[in-house]
Amino acid sequence: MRVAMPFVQRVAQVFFAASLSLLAAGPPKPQIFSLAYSPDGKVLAIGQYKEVQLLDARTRKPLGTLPGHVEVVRSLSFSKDSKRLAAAGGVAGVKGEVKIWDVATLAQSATVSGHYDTIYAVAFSPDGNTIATSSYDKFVKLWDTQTGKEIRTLKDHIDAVYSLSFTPDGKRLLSGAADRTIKVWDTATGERLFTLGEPTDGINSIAVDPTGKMVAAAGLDKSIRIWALEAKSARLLQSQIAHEDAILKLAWSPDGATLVSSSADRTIKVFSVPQLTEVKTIAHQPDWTYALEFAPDGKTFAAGRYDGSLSIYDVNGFRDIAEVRTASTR
Amino acid sequence: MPTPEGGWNFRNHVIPVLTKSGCNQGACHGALAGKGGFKLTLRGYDPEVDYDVLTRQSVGRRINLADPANSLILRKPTMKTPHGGGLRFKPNSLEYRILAEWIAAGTPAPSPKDKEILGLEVQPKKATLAVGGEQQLKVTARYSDNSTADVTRWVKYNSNNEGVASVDDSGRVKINGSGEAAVTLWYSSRVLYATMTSPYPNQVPAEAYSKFPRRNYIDDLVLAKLKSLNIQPSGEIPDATFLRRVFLDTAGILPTAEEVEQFLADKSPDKRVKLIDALLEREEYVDYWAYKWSDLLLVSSRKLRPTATRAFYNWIHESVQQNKRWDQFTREIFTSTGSTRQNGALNYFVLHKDPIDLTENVTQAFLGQRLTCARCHNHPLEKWTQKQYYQMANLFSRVGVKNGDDPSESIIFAKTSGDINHPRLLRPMAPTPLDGTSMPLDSDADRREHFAKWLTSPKNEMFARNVVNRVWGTLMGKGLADPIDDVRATNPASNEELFAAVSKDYVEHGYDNKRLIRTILNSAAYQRAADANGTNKDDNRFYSKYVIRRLPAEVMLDATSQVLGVPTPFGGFPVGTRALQLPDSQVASQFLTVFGRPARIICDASERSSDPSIGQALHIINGDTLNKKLSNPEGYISLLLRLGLSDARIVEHMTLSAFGRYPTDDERQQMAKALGESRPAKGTAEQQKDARRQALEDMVWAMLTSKEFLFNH
Repeated sequence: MRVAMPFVQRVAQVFFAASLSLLAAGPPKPQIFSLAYSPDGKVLAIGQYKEVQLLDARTRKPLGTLPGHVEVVRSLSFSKDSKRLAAAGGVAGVKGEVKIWDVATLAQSATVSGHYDTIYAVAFSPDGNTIATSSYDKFVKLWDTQTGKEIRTLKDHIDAVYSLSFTPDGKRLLSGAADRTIKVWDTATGERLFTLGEPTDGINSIAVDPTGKMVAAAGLDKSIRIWALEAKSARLLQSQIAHEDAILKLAWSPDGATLVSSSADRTIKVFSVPQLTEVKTIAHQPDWTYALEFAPDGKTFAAGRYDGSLSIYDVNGFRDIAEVRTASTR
Repeated sequence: MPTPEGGWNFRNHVIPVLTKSGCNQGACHGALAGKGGFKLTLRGYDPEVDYDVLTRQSVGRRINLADPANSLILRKPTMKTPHGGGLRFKPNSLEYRILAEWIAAGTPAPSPKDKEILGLEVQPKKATLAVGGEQQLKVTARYSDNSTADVTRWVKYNSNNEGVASVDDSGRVKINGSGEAAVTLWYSSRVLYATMTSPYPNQVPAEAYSKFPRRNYIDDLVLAKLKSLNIQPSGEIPDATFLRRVFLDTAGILPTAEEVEQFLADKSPDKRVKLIDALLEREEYVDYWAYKWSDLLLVSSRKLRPTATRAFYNWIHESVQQNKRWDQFTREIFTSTGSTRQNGALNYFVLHKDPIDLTENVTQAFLGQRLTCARCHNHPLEKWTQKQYYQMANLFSRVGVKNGDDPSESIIFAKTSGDINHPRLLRPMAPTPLDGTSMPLDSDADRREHFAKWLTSPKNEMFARNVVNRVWGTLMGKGLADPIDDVRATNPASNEELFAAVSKDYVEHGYDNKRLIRTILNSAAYQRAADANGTNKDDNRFYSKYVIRRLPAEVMLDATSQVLGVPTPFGGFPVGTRALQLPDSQVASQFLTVFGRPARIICDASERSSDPSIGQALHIINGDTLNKKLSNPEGYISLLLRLGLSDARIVEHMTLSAFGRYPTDDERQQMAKALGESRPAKGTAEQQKDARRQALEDMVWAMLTSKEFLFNH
């Protein structure tokens, strides 16, 4: 929606826009902001600028593109039956948006609009009826996936909420935020059950283990912490400085034995859990690895980065077995 | 302005845009917690961190590589998206262009190969203008690749005296009133200042300067400054004023009545010079300055045991007695090891045990720099960086303190390991004194020695300026840099040429405090009257007249005891101990506390307060201290009465003793009348004696509570 502006400004805008395109260094490499594997192991979804790329998980051949997102796609979540994909983003400082896609037909089945800022995490509930979103606007929201209507808002965090995870039974939702806390919510009532306050700086990523009994969280204080999730509280099991700079993403292996972390210190580290014993450091990452996801068979994990590079590491030896350059259809 | 070859540089172009636009100031995103989840380093002191925050943090929300104009970092400051910080620049501005073009170029990162800024230059460095006049400043940055750039529009400007000169964001100065102001410049963690002078609109004849006595180089430089400002100096003081003033400023005591009479009667032309020499040889001179340095070094039994306090004080006292060179005095603290009982100086390390405390105290006490701000970020007012803070702190990370044979003794030794980490980098910095050279982290030499060498080097201007300013300010009533303990680069002296000359003289002649004091006291600038003439009523900075000041608490108490002949009792000390001889600021005395004796908790000159208070007034009017001494049967009033002296003689003696001068004829008449009238017409001899005594006590009370007594003028 354009607001009328003085002639001088319009001329200046045109002039500067033109000069920007003259000076631009060429179309930027398509950056990777998020990744997700479909639970059936067939599809790898890559969240990019304004679109989602779908690749065959095994061959890495392109399967299709999901276009039309308003800006960067910052979070992806498949429904448990692998039939639907939620792709979340929005416009920074303005609004949040989620498009729910039908994976088979590549058609959009619903759009969710809300939040006052871009959405950083989206998660399908295990039963597929609800999606949870969290945003820079400090709120967590629950939405009906059929109608796209908001069910409720969970208001308690006092800073951007970057990460969400349902427990495998779908009864509880966990959120990790820049306010240094992880909160545990009852999905049916929206009640905040308890807060984990041990982190000493903002949280970027949380991961619930496959059994739903533990949660790991990490962020700006460079440490990984693991708690045992109980009925009314959580018990801190491990706390360890793991990296030399902020930790960006955590991923829990499907067999629950391994935790992988990526960091702004340009490394990816592999730990055996729950003792958090370091198994491997994969150094010399070309850029910040925002996205880290295990393939459902647990044999590999994918790392997607700010500079558009994608690596697939196998868990025996941690070699990068793929040289993948994603293409843009724009 | 054309885009430079190679594009806009993040460190040298983008960061200055963020700084000048106020994005990274302390009130906004430079705050400790940032704003709205977006935190930049304060005034861009760490470009590498800022780069990650801008491009990659929060999953890259702030910069849109595919569509630069829609980057949040451009939408917010131009208010395309609501922004708590308001409009910072417009889309057609150079600020916008630099950011937008830098994004379009793919946000090139800062690199260690970037040219580094070495320093700033300003033109003009000084300007003399009439009120209403304007001056545009031009600021040039010099870089490590030998290039220069005009950075005038990116500098942050400030005036230290808006009443004289104000400055706008573009570096245009406007003169608002007469006097002198320093316009300080801040750019890229470098600081500088330009001096703006506006002479007063006085008619001062040339002879006022040429005929004014000049006793030494101090006078040449003071008069030159006064001439440039069109301020006429006040005249020289008469002998009586000089005598009292110089006694108080040199030794903290009043001259006795006999000393007053002798000096006033002396006809020799060089009697003032001789008096200064004699005062500098007195025990009281040693006591007075030992007390001052004990203030500086925080000698107090609050944290030290009484015997340790005494040992620390004794070392200071002996050092003043020997007129120990200041650099040697300082070096002794930092290069000694062993028992704090045998070497009182080492108690310094019992008072300041950790590297943070040592860093901040050492820089304040011996360099006149306030480093505390740099503990968390680059200093906003000076050139010190957080890295330098922790480089300095690591000089003090190996000071070992262990118990000695008895509880009041500690042993100071140099440990061979131990480091303090930089809080963000999480590793220790190579020990480096502020702008000195580093020593290797793995060296096991005593790090304090390395520090002491730099500290006391003749090249270390801060070291000399700090002590010179403290001595100068004590004698002249105001430091060349004000406050007296703040000689940072952005707090320029009121007369920089003078400050430089006195410091140079001091260093070249062996850091000799006694000589420095002698030089200052002998100058005509010191011996000026406090009375204003038509031109210098408002001047308290340029030494056109003596700055009147209240006597410090201890001097006041001692003077009262001296005039009344009744010493003040101090618990645990022999009778007759003067307040200025107390080795410990914890010795109980309500009088001293009420009148602003420093608690010696932090090294800050403002600990000694001379602010007036109700408590002080009440203490003088009703308090025990003065009243008990007045009526003491062993005191001088009783003595003078017992000797059978007349009212006139008593008045004369008390005036000589308290005011250092003879009473005027008018005073003699008035006092005689008042005392006469106070005698009752009738009554027994006892009652008459009593009434007379009361009257005399009242008279002396009035003298001792008058401004003439309580102030140094």
